[in-house]
Amino acid sequence: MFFLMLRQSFFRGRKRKALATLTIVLSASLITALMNVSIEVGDKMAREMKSYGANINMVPKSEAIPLEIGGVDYNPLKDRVFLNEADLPKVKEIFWHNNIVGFAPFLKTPVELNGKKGCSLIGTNFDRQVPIAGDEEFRTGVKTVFPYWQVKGEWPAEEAGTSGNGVLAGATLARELGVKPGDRLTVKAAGDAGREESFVVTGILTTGGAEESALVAPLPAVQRLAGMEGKVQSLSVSALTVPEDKLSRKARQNNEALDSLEYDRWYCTAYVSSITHQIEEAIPNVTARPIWQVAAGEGAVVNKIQLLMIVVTIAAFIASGLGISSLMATTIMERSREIGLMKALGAADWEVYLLFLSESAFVGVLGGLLGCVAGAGLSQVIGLSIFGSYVSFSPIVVPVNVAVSVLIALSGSLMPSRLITGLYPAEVLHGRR
Amino acid sequence: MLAYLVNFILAFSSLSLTAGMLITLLAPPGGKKGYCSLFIALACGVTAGAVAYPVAIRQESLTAVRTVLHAAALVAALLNGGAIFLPAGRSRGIAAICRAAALFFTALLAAVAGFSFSAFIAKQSISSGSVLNTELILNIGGVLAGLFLTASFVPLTAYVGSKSGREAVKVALLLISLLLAVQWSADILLGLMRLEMVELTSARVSVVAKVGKYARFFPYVEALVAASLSFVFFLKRTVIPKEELAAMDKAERRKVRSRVMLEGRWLNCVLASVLIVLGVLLYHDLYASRPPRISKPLNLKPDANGLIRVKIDDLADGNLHRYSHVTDDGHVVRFFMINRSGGKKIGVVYDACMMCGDMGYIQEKNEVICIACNVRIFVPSIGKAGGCNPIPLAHKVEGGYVVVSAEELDKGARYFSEVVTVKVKDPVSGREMVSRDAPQRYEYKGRTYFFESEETMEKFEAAPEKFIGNREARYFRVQGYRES
Repeated sequence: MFFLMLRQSFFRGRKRKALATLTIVLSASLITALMNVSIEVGDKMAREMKSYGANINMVPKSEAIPLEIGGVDYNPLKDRVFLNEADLPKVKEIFWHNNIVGFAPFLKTPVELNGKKGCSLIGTNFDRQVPIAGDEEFRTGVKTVFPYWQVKGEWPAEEAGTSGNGVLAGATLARELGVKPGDRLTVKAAGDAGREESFVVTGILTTGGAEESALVAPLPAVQRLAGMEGKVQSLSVSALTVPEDKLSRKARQNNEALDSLEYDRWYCTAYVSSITHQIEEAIPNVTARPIWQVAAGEGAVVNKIQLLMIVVTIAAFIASGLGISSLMATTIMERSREIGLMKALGAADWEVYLLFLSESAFVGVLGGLLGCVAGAGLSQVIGLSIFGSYVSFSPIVVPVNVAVSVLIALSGSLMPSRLITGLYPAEVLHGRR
Repeated sequence: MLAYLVNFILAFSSLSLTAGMLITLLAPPGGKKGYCSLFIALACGVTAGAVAYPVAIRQESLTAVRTVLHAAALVAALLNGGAIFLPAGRSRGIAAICRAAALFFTALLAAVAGFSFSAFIAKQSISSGSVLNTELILNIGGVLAGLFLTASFVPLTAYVGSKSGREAVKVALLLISLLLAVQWSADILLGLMRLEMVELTSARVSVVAKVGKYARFFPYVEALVAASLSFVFFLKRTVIPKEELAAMDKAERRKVRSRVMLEGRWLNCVLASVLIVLGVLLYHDLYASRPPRISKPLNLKPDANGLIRVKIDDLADGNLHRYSHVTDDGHVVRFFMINRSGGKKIGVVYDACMMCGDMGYIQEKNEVICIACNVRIFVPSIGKAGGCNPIPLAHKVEGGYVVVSAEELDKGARYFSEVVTVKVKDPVSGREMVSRDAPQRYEYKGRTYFFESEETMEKFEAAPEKFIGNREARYFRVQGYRES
């Protein structure tokens, strides 16, 4: 019976209901759009925190001292302090040495190409045998640390062959210079007295990072060219880790705050924070930091979006709630005779409430769903303008948004439905009110 | 999400059932104000319990606070249980006592519920990042769903209870109070032992352990209590025969029909809620919360020379091949072999970790995972000591076979805790018996020896080398890795 009445009453006053739905669609689409952007980034961050592998960047301690004023780095020791290449295998001697999948050292030096154009030359290991206690055959390099680096052509040989040193040209640089695999480049270290050496381009490198506008060569060749034998600037370490949890977060904030039991558990668990801690213990004067890509990049923006989202949600809630409220009041006044009749036939107050509230809840669901569709489109606009990329749609937005819309609709109609109590069958049926 | 839902139900289910039943028992005829104070007591209790946990953690007196809270709740449960049996409706004094006892009980039960859920929340991290994400929303959704489910039990029990008679409600309430009282007393006992206020004895520990073991079934019992209450309601409902109905006045008949329909709906609601709760609990206990299990090991018997051979070609697929070997004294030693590089390098290791013990390792796709600590093991490093890697097992590679000696496996028996019943020999008299039934046993160098009588055991104890030769001791985990 109730559902029959609901169905019948639903198709009355269509114009007003359409208006109510539209009000909700507007607010729901705004909420959806902002929430979708925020959740996309939040999920990415969560995935990063929960992943079973992490990259760690290790630099000399003085390099990590922040001395940035107005975006310019004033650290006087920057690019002047180096790591000893001989120290690096110690990374494989820490407690969790078996969880270190590989590491790749980096040395970057400015060079001039063919006598005029300046660019950077990056020296690294591609897949080189590194002597390590207990394992004579351990091979590591960027191929293991960055498996997504793609080379069109061939990787250069690690040791200089008969045809001279091989080098990879970054994709952007190669496009600018118009070089192909097989071309010969003369590279001169920056400065007047810089050495000069000739390299053969063996492949074009695509990484999605800064390496695309540089030359990448085997480490020994770069060290020779720069006159810095046995030195490297940084080390990228790839490690197998366990997902971050409460303990590791506590340790990350301040590992002095752990009691001895917690400290033992933290130290003996392969958290990325405990691995970096052990690396810092093993090699003097270095700082090791996990690389959280999302947390560092989009994370900063998304905090502001979240704040905006909360403000917009509250504003939308109040605005559309008020809109619905006035629409509902009109409906009740208009249908007061019907309500009077229902009461006269023995309907309790709550039954009449239920009828009107479920009607507006239905409007809320409808508005929420339509708002999701509209908001999905809107979030693409936001994503393109802030991050320059499309935002994938998170399905969790739909139930949350529908719930919020229903809440808006219900809270909007709660106040006016109080009017129902004040309607007396005799009065309304007689037409005095 | 599921963990939050289930833990919410576990913490609050008894509270909602009790509150519903107390509403029935206390309901003053006609007045609605009876519920008000009950809900105030409930809200205060939950808040106090939820706040008490973090405070107790900060004050480092968790055990003491827990014990005091449970003791108070136990007293309240007993008081309430006694007050129920006071003759109701005689004098106003007795009614007031009943009322006070019920409020006290509700408040403390709510405090216990709030405390335990707060403890659960504190141990979990509700979200892995500070930014709004799907996991966070799902977890909050889980709590809200739990809140909805448990809260719906209050009016459902109250309605069903009011129709099925005070006696049935009293029995149900006493049953639930009894379950809670048993649980709380075990907890108080444990707390007192921890606080060193009563002496630690094995009988007491065993009581606590038994209660803890069966406590996981209590929520199911509670759900069944709710279901049986609705069954009583179903039996007690007034059925009006058809003839009588036909003879009724039209308006009267409609009223009766409406009442029957309403009662049917209440009943369906109760049954549906009970089914949902049971379904969620069963799904969680039987499927979702089960830890990963190791694959069944293949039992290998050594040949006449005491050697176990495994063909290398069988291991070429790169999967984890798990084997087991039963030692003379019944220890089950598990070990596994895996092709750790693309070539034919085989990692041969015990299926146990120096740090985490013998829970073992599982393979998921290409990853080998330590079950105990969830660390991914770098597969090329299997066979090397260190970190959470499996303990290396000395072996030889001969002519396409991996050869492991039973003697070496026997030395690693202490890394494993699983023991089976085997046929053993008394080293002194040479008599054969079953290890489980052996009257005497003696441990020497990590091995267990079984004796037919005290006499032979004493002989053995005096000069063990005479009977078993100078066998090397077994390895113990505390000794750490050793090169062999």
